Amino acid sequence: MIPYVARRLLMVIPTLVGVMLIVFFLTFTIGNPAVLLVPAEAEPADIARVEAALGLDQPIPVQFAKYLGRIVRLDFGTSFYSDGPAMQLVLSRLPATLQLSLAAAIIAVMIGVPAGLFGALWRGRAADMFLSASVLFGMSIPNFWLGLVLIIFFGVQLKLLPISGMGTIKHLVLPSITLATGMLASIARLIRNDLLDVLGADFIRTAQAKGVGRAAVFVRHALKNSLSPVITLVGLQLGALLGGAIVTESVFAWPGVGRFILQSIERRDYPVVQAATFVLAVIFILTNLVIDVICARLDPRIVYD
Amino acid sequence: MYTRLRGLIAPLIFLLIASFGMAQRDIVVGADSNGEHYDPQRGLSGSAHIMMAMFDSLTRLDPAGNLQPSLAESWELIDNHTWRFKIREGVTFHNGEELNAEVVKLNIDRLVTPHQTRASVGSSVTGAAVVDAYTIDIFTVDVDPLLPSKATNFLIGAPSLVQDPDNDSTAFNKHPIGTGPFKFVKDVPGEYIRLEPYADHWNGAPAATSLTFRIIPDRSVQLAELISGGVDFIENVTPELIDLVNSSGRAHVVISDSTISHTIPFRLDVESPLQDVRVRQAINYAVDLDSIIANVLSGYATPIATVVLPGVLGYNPEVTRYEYNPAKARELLAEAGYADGVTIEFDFSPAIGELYNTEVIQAIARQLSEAGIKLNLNSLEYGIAIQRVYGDRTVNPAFRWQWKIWYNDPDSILYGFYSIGGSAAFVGDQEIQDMLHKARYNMDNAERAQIYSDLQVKFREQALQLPLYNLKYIYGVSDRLEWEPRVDGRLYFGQTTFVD
Repeated sequence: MIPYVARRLLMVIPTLVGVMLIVFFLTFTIGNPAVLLVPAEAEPADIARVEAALGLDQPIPVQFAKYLGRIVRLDFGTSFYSDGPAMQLVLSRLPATLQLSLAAAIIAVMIGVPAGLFGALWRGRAADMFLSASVLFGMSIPNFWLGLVLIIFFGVQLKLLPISGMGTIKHLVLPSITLATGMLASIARLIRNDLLDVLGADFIRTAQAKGVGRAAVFVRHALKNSLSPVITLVGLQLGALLGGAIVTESVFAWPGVGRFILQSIERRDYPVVQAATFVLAVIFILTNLVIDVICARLDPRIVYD
Repeated sequence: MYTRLRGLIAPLIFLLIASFGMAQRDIVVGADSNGEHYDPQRGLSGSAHIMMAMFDSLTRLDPAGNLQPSLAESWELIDNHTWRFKIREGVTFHNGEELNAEVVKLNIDRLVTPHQTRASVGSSVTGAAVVDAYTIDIFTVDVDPLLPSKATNFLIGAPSLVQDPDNDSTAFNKHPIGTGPFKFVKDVPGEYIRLEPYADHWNGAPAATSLTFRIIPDRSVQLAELISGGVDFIENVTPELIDLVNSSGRAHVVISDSTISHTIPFRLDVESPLQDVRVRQAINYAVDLDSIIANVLSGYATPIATVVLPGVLGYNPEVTRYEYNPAKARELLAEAGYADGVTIEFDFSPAIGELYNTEVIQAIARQLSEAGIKLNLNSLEYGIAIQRVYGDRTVNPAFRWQWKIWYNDPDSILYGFYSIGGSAAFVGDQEIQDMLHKARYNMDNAERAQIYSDLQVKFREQALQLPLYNLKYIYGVSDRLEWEPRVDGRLYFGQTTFVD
């Protein structure tokens, strides 16, 4: 295992270089930040001056060389918009997003796994139908709609929970529930289908023939075998959540990285967009590595070489 | 996560204590965004309401939009390149430093020193010189009748932070220090900025005990917070929600005029049917704006005949809109050779145009189609729209835009769009260019007014645009506050008092 992990960690570097290459060329497609930094009455000469100050008037190969030089030293420059250090601005938003994503993941697993489990257990019965319908509903609801409905009900009318912002555990409840619904539904479906598959396998019949109790069959034999794909799913979704909770962050005024990246793209704030992409790429890569290791530990059939 | 929670204990305790008595005089504003930079030499670009709370400028606009003294008590023109300002005595910064002409010079020097984020707030200014302790001369490139008005953007920051004209905004972003009615307490990027009153403000300490700007990106959530008492102030209430706010028992709506003109300018410098004045006039005849205002905007707008609004220098009340006459429109189109209809490429952005702008565009397109004019609508993201108009100038021949008139003077808008070589000039008419040039570098206000007035007539004759309307601002204000709106749409809480 150790050599495998070591090799995976080494692979991180070329992967990151590839990501940053793509990001560099992509940032040029989103447009010129100079026009957005000057007031409306600015003359073309003013725009040219800003471009020169930002180094955007130089030929692309020169800009690229400078960019690579800085990235290698992990220097992501200063924000075009606020003049602050780009990486620090991104990192300052990260804890909020991590908090929200982890809370959502925990809720999704805590509700999704039992939901899928009981769906498989009571297959074909009314409860299963109900659970399947709820799952479909959960996957289909747009986050912003659900968020607003929860706000109106629990915040405005019942006054039980805060409407927006970050602060106490109470502030975390509604946004994490909103964010969890999509992932929860996917987990429930995956577990249910996986379990149904596994339950048809030979070794389950063997266990039953041996006289193992129903519950034990379910948990010790069936469930354990279904966990691997679920953990992989959670890992992938967690990575996506980190950058993609934009809608939920916007609705609940949650000061996370997703919304910050969107604003920076709108403002053509290249250094921040580049720093944020780097951070998210690192997190995604590492999360996947951890997930793979966990799966390997859980399932002896998985052998990495 | 724990560090984050631990860091919240102190402010939470403070809030608990505060809620027992002081809370009545706190003001919490729900804002779309905060500036994220608090550098006075970047003017009011980031977040006008936050900057105006912490900084004063040399001159200021009163709520009606008229020029008034501020840190400068008076000013006079010395020669074609020099304005002399008398600085108010006895003004101190939040850190105790004193305001004088030397400090103003430091600020002006920093303003004119090129830096990546401080592009052109005072672009006609070349420098400044101290005359005596409280008198300063500011030099301009050429005759500039508008410098005292432009000085409303010259925010003055503390001497210790502006001493180095080359420095970046980091120091100001961390802890901005000005002379304004509120001083900086704490900024949590992405969440809120908290200010407290400055007791020694030259115009009197504000009545509020704290002023917080909370970032709430979603407007429905802003409204939810307002009617639940979570915030005391929001902007951009849509007309159909006015009743909800007024009946909430906690807040009411305040309606005010604005200085923003909404319009559809035409390009004459690229090949298109719009190069024919009859097509442009046909478009003007084919739009029933009164109906759009009544039905789409619920009446919260005033139709305009020209982008120069009433009250602005050069406003000409004899210039009226083209009346709604679809038959005449068809006639003109036929004359121009488009009896079977004409197609025009049209750009707009959902981020430009304020209230229901997309619905307004769709209504206009519908009305025009009934006269045989088909608009191909292209919806652009904000940055791309700006790029196409000001950057590579590839915007389509008709596009939807909005202009804000500053200091009741049309120069900056008209020059930008109708001169030759201006940042967004798409007309290319030499006569217009000459008139604009004459008005810009002219110290005789009466003459300037006449030139702008004549320009309005010319614009109308040539149908250089389809003027739309001027929207009202609709704010949601807590019943605890007595707040006065400003015609320039900036939020100011220095004079806000409480009902009790």
